[in-house]
Amino acid sequence: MKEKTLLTAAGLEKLQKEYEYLTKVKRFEVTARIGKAREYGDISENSEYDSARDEQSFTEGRILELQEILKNAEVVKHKESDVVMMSSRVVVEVNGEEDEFEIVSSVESNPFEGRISIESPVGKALMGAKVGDVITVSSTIKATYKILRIK
Amino acid sequence: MEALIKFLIFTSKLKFTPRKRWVLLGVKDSETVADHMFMTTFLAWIFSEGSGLNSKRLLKIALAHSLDLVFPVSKETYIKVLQKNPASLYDEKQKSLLGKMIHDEEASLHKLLIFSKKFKEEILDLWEDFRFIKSKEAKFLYAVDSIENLVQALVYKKAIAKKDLDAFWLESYHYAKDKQLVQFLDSLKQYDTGGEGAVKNKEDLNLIKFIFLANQLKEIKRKWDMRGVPKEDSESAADHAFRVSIMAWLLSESEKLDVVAVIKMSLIHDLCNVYVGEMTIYDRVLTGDPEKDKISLRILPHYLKEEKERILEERRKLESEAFDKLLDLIPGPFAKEVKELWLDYEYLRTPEGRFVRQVDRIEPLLQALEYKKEGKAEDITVYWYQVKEWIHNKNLLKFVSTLDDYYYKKQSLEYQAN
Repeated sequence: MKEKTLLTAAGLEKLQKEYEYLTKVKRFEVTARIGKAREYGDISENSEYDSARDEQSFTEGRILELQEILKNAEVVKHKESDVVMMSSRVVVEVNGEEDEFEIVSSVESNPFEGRISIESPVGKALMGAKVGDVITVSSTIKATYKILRIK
Repeated sequence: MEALIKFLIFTSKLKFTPRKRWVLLGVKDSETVADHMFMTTFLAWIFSEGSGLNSKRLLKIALAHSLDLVFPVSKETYIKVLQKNPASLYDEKQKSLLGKMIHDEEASLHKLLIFSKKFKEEILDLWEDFRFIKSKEAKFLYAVDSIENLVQALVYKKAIAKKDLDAFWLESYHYAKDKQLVQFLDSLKQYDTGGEGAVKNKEDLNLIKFIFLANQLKEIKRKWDMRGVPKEDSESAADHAFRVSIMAWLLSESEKLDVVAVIKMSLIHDLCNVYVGEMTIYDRVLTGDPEKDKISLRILPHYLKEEKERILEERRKLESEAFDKLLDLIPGPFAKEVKELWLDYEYLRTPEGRFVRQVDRIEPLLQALEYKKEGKAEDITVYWYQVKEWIHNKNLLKFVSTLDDYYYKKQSLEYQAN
């Protein structure tokens, strides 16, 4: 059985947007680039043709990859929970101040927006935590978070 | 992975190695080798639009072409030749003398490549291609490299003798076989002698302005003074972009990523800094009071989610406007490509964008560790806090964990508690 990719609704939308862009825009741009490259002459010695074919290979590879991910995606809707899970918004105390993270998939993570991936060290450590828990992200340099609220 | 870390640490030396030719010509605080490699790679991309060359090979040759300078050979012969001819336009006797040095340079490169078994063959192939000017891409890069030297010589115009500046013009025209490059040089000549009004081709005029603006990334120091690093020891934005480009290239090879997009994105990710300067997460936090600021700099600024989003939107607006202002100088496919790559990076729209953004968090950590090891930086724990939030790619997580082991267990770097 194919591995399910956990996503939030926003994450799914992001991947769908990427898929649409690749299949409706990028694919045609790359085909046009290959057509133009042929104009440079004999394709056996044609560097621009090789470049363009490389790009086509990446585009088509990514399209296939996205098809698989979208087929096997499981959207985790946000819900109230006692325990930190995908889609939770967690308010923590760190270094004596309040910080807030939304727990999301890697595709949509952006700590500058407050979105942390479940596969990042902080995200991994927060998953499954309850209010009042103090979690430590381990390595030589330790970061400690106390869970204050789970929205 | 530890070998790759060592490779990248050694490569970092290029960020702090002034270019010999400028030193010999008497230029104070000259650009570094990394500055030059950044700009050469960037110019190679700009000038190769519509040239029919293999962009992957061209960009990689540009990034690799001076890696032998990590362990420079004792170049008495070279220094004598360079002093007589800083623009590398050598006569037959000089060429013969320098030809013997290529073996020494290659031996230098081998010293570095001990730490890069995976990429040794490829980097050697790229470097030899450039040195012996074998491929179309290498020929083109030779010309671009000369033009890059010329542009920098024009920046240093007041500091160098006219006869030396003339040598850079000669070198550029000698290697520029491409019609487009020759036309650009003609326009640059008109600009240099008669100012903006003298340039007949207005597109070239705008490209000249764009190039001199982008070149300023070599002058913009990164804000390491916040960490106690003396300003003269701080890397430039161009230095940083060079090492992000090399790191992203090498680390992306074990992923299913478009390496051309990865390299290009790495090159331009901070391009807007020529207008907005380096914007950091501490800009709204620092007060100017050294005691208070020292405390603030030990931790990441903490906000609730709405505030984070608001701050991010403000920064994005400024940076997007700066990009547009810069790229409006040179409308066309290149400008469109740069803007789209920046949007991929900033909004994490593509796998390449998400990957390069993560590398861009790790590279400063590596630099911070290097500075700390040299006793130049104080508390650098925030760089670790950042990667713990940002890094989710499996290979990059492994890289960061190897960095932790390398510095704190093997190098016995002391962790200082807050």
